[in-house]
Amino acid sequence: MGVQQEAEYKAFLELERSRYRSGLVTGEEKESFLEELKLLRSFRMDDQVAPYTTYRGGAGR
Amino acid sequence: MISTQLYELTLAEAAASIRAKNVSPVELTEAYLSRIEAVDGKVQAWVTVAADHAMQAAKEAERQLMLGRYLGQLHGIPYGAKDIIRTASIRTSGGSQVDGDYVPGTNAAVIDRLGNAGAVLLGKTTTTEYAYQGGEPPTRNPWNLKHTPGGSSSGSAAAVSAGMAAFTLGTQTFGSLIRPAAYNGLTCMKPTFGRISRYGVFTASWSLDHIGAFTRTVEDTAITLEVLAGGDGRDPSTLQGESPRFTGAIGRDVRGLVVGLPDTFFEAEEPVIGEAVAQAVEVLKGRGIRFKQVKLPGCMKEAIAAHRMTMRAEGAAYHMESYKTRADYYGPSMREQLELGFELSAVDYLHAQRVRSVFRNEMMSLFGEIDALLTPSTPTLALPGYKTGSPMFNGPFTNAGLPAMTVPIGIDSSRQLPIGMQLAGPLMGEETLLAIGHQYQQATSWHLQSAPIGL
Repeated sequence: MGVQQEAEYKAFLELERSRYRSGLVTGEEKESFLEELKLLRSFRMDDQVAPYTTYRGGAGR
Repeated sequence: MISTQLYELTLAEAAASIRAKNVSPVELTEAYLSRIEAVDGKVQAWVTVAADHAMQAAKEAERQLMLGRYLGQLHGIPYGAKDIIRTASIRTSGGSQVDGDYVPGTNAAVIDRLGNAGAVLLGKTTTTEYAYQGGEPPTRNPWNLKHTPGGSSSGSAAAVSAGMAAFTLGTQTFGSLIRPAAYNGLTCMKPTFGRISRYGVFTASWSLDHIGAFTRTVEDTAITLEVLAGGDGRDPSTLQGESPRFTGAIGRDVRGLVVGLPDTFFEAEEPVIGEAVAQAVEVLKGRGIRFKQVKLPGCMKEAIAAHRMTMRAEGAAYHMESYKTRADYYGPSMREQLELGFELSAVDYLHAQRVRSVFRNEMMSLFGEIDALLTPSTPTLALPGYKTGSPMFNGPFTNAGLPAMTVPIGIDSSRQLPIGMQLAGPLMGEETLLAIGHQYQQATSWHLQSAPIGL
């Protein structure tokens, strides 16, 4: 990595870290999480709709 | 043959040269190792280059050839693997400091499959932390070193684009195959969920993780998919039964196929992308493909929310044990998502899975009227800096487990950055996508252009 590239990358990492100085979850992400939760909870579905599943059997553990 | 340097050969060209004994696996491996030595200082696609391991494997591939045992088109072909894929005796860091010196005792299923096919592992490529958002590696886009290669499979995409491997393995939980492939001018398939075993790969999300290969052409994608696909009792989500012969699909007649153009959602933010897609549509029309406007499911927003909640919850469950004792070793962005995952209730998680069922059914209904869907691969070109860009155009197909493929369709002349189109299909619809993509590449040469690797 060149000197300038390294400096730019370090600055980027520092900027990323600085977003979390006030806590583990940023206010913006928490707000987005709560909005998505509200959106999902308000979505009405036929009661016959089952959860999406992906495992089809097999050896397991 | 179009190319002059060994590292510029497509996988199919290299395979033909090896089979004809014009090039040996050792020569080819040496050529890629020299290329890594020459350009990786700028690109930084590799976490670990396993040169000794690679030369040993190449010599064994050569020995088998001399004995008359040709194992197929991957025999003697050098490749790289994203650093969340376990490789026996080669460090698998996950792009994280949580267990950054971990050296597995066994291979992931895909590494064994490739080894059995005679492929030569060159080393491990960079990834965001555990293939999540955040924890971006320093990897640069070989087309323009000021820009991101995308992620999370950052190194895998950049390595092929810079001629440092014939192909590489990556994974996609949201947009981590298609987006970096498009940003790097590559061809890549995210196959149907369950097509390729994830056994031995660090989990980002059990119900969303897919494996795929970065290549330069559709033909190369078909060759790799044919070897990688197949059921595996150790990954109970894999599709059972015989896998299709994908290399046979690329020559299929595409005349009369109907491709849908979505009415909403997939609107590129940059006009140059829309223009390239419009031109690609004209090329495909010239190959006899018909187009029609289609209406997407009405629950796109809810499906995206369900996708994100699923990632958070399943990621938190997967990392729960190590998070108890090593939370401080996780990067802040990943830690944020895990914290939110721990907050999610079982009821909300199940509700999200029901939304996914509705979404998948509606997407499958859509494919009742068309053979494939065509969209831009990404909303923007590769961004300057280190953030890996938006995966929003790729998420719907990951979420529903549907196959999707990106094919290069242009280069933005002002920034020297590639543009991709995404083709998506119904479950098990890979063959149609390969046929359409191959027809497009028969008529164009974007896939043959090489990254300049300069500032």
